[in-house]
Amino acid sequence: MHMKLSGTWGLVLLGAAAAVVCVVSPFIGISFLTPSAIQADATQRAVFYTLRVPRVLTAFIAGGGLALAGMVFQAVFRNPLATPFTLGIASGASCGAAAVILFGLTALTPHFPAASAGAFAGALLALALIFGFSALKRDTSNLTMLLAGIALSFIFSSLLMFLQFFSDSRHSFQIVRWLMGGINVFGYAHLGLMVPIVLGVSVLVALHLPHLDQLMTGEDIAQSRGVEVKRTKNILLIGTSLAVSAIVAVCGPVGFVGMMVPHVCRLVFGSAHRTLGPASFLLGGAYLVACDTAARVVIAPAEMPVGVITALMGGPFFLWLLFGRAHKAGGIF
Amino acid sequence: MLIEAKNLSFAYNGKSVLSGISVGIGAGERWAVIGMNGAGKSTLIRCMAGLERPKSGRISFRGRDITLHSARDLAKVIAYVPQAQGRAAPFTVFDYVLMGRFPYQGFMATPTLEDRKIVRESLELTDTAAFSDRLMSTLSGGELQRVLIAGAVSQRTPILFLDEPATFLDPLHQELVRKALTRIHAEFNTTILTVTHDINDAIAMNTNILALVSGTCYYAGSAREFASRCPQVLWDIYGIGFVEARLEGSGRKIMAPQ
Repeated sequence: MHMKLSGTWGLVLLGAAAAVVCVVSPFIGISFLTPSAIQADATQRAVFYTLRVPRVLTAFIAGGGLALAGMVFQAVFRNPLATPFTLGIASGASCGAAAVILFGLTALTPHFPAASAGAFAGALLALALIFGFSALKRDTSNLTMLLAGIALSFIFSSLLMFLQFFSDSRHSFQIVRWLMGGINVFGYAHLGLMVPIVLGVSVLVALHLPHLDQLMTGEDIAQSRGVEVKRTKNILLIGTSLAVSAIVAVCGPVGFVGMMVPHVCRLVFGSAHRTLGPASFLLGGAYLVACDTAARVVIAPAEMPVGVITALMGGPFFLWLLFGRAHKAGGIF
Repeated sequence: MLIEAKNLSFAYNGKSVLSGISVGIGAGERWAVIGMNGAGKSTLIRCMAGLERPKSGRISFRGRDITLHSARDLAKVIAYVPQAQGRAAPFTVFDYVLMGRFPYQGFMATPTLEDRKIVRESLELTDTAAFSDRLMSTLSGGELQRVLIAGAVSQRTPILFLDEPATFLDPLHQELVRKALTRIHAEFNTTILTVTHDINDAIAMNTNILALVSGTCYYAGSAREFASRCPQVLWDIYGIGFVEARLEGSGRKIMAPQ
């Protein structure tokens, strides 16, 4: 009972902290805004509502979605090294984005950059390849899928290098910049793709949180306790991969959040997914919002790519937590 | 018959593992499954637990094909304790045993008071209540094995399958596993099927014996009858000679490899 109570209070605290981060963030940037200034000045109002607010929303949904996807991948594969990008989704997306940038395709709409469309297509291609092969070969064992995903990542990475090798320096810089990730959104159009997919998949994951606990005990035990293991794994992996595809299409392959946020939450809240799921989403979202806020101010008036900041800020904290608390908690995995 | 295999065959990558196994198991019986490594013991109980799909033949629970049951329904009638695994799940003993209540729980698997009561009973029966707050990863092999059994017991199934529950344990912890199984059987009249390499245990603890030789059924019947045919049949099953000896005092017959 005590554990559960602290879990509930922990979630309430985390939720409150995430809310504060999200409310404060849009006021901070190259120019600092105040509520009264937004009321008075049309330009500031425009900055606030068409740049800052959509940006915070995007970062929160993307960070939450990546962390939740990482948690699912780690539990389903029973592997602490698994990330949302392990199956090659991000590499496929990067390849798609690079191809679009290199061939100079222009935007479909001004609010939805062509690179995003290319990235989404590349991610879906990777997703189709990995699940197509495993269905064709009737092999959904964890190691086979992990190895296939890593092989696919390498193939896409090589293709990416090939594309970069043949691009001029301007395109090459654009590609590198895209690979660093960033939440450079304008208006709300892109959210139409990302929000329904990420929230839909989050609901799907929420319905399967107890199943993830069971999978952590091993697939045989989970199956013998009533989890339809193959079906559950497929639903969860395909669903979260779809969410990751949508996120990477908009934000680029932002690393660290998807792998480390679930581990941080495990160290703080324990391994029961009923708490771990909402905690990962809240912390992942708040963390990416905070990183993106930092990205806007550290080298103002220029902007730092957010992918540079996520690991730089979170890495040392994670190491401190890992060496300080992990052995006290009897390991995290 | 409570659970029955009819003409069961199984192949892995085109290689036959089990062929033509038929066995009927009655309520409250205790069966030992014996045979050499690779004879198909584990595969047989995995098929009977619904974890593997046989190539042909069928398994029925109370006359109904088990493939017609959902995983959740099957989990209410058959519990399975796999062979010792290298790693333990990152949960406390109590939480792990509570997770055995999954097939009875609804949305979010919220435990009821009844679930918690059943968990405490399962811990008592397996003599694991003393470390219910400890993390699984901190248990010894002997403690862990009984916790796995407690998790299966909390499913409250009429059938319990165990794959070599005591093979890697020291004599004391083997005895603790034996006692736990005896208590479970006495409490619920559970039908228990145990894969084992311990011949003497197989004969002493069980009502029936199923002996597999190269994926076929060599013997399926009463343990008493089996004992009377020992040690000769053991040559056919294991390919080495056994001698029999009588224990001083009890006069119990035991088999030892020659």
